[in-house]
Amino acid sequence: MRRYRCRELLVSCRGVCAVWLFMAIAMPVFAAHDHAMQHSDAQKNAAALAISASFDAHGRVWLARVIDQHVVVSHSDDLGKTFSMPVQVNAVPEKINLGGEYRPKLVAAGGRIYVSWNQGLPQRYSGNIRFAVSTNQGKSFTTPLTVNADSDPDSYSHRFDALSADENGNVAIAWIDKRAAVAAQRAGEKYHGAAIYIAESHDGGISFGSNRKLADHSCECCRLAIARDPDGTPVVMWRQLFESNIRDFALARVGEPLQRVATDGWAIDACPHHGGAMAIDKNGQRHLIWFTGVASAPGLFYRRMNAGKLTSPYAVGDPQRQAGHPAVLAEGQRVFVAWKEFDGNTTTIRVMLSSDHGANWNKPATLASTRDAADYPLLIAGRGHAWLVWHTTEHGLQFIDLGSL
Amino acid sequence: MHRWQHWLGLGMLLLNSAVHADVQAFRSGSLQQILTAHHGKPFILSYWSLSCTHCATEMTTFAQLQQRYPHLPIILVSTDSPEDIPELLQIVAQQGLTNTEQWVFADSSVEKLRYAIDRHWYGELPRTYLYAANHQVTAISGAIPIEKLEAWIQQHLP
Repeated sequence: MRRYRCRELLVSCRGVCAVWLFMAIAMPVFAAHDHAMQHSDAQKNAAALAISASFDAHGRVWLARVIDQHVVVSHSDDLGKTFSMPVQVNAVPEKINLGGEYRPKLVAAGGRIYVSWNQGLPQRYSGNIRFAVSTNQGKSFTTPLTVNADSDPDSYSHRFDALSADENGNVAIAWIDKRAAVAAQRAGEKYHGAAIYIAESHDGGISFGSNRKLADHSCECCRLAIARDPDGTPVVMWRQLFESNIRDFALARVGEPLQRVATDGWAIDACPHHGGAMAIDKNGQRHLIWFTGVASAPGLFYRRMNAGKLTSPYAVGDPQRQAGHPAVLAEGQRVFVAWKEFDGNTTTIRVMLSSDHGANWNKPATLASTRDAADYPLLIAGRGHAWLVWHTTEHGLQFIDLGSL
Repeated sequence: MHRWQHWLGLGMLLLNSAVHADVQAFRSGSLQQILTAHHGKPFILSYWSLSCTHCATEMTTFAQLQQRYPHLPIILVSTDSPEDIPELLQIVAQQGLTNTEQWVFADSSVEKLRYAIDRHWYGELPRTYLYAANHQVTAISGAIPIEKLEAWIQQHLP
């Protein structure tokens, strides 16, 4: 039964290859279906599909997901065909915020496996930013630590962690934090939205420096994007509140003030639940993609930021088909963008590629589809290739080769 | 088939038709069911979620409206899942909105339900639809000021 499904996927892949002409390579699609993945295969809703995947330097892919109040990590040496038995990251079960804009985060870098997640607390809209690292090839993880360090016990809302780690043991975690909002409320003052905080480690995640505020007045429920400038300094992108309720995107390099990167003017007293994505290439050019619901021109938009200058926004995907939830990957000269579309019955993942640092783009292609629940698309690099990783109820976990880098 | 099997079947059917006595399962076709049930009458239909901070503001407004216009139906549809029902009921009770008709998304694909409701709704919450008696509908994203809702009510409530 499972073997049949795998074959079925390979057949459907050939059709995709025909569309995806520019790559001119075979694109094997693998369904993960060993014991380790059976649980998630059986899940019914999108929340349980929320995963993270990352290649290490040896081409082994590492996977984080959540099972019964535990973040678990497993690895695969055959591109997702089989996975190792999952290892629990948090030995003590805890409520883990999941689905939609939440997912467990995993980065494999410099021989270590870094994991972060959001622990749900009893109060509404609350959480702790949790972190653990493995220094023994995923055999075990350090006791989870809470990264948000508040002196005020009542400022309990820390959510939407974004994790970055490099080869040299530098780790950065950014999140949305309401301690300033709580303090203002207590003082009888008005405070719009929440704040963006970051904490950094320079010893491979063993200890973290103090919590630092990057910016005030962020939107409250959209995932953050994090990447690093070529000098290693973290950069965070998020949906910011301009004036009282304009929810457009901004970014900030640690130690520098925020820069507005979208001027859509989406004025709304609502939670969009729709964060953006960012990648920074070796030249320091920032590749940004985000969603706006502004009535005049809703949809996904891509633009680049180079030495502080922004290119014009470039409309991506079909807004009539709910184009959204994007991912971006920049490796060498190549930039990949993936996003979800939905036509009322079928969810598809569309991918477009630039081979000249984002200046020109090929025609987008549909690389995967399902008629059932699906996670957001992920883009990762490993084994000298770029990969689309997508987790669906129907097909399990798929790795789709986007070509060599 | 034994008689007990008939009863078991009937029991299962009843369980499936209502997720909870107070919260109905919103599936494909549920919107049509709501429209039919409220045929020829104005009503407010609002989608919300546990994770949406602005939805609490909107509920406070709805509670005020319900006191002032007890005959105007307010229907709440949570985009969470049936397992969240205890928390949903708790929040709605805290807001004093227990007399409202309540539903919760009960399909593995939230996109499918959302698209069937309105393909121009991208998932932002709260999302509210004001239905006039002829079911001409006004869609609004975000918490709505009570003055705006009252202006609409005065125009559309007989």
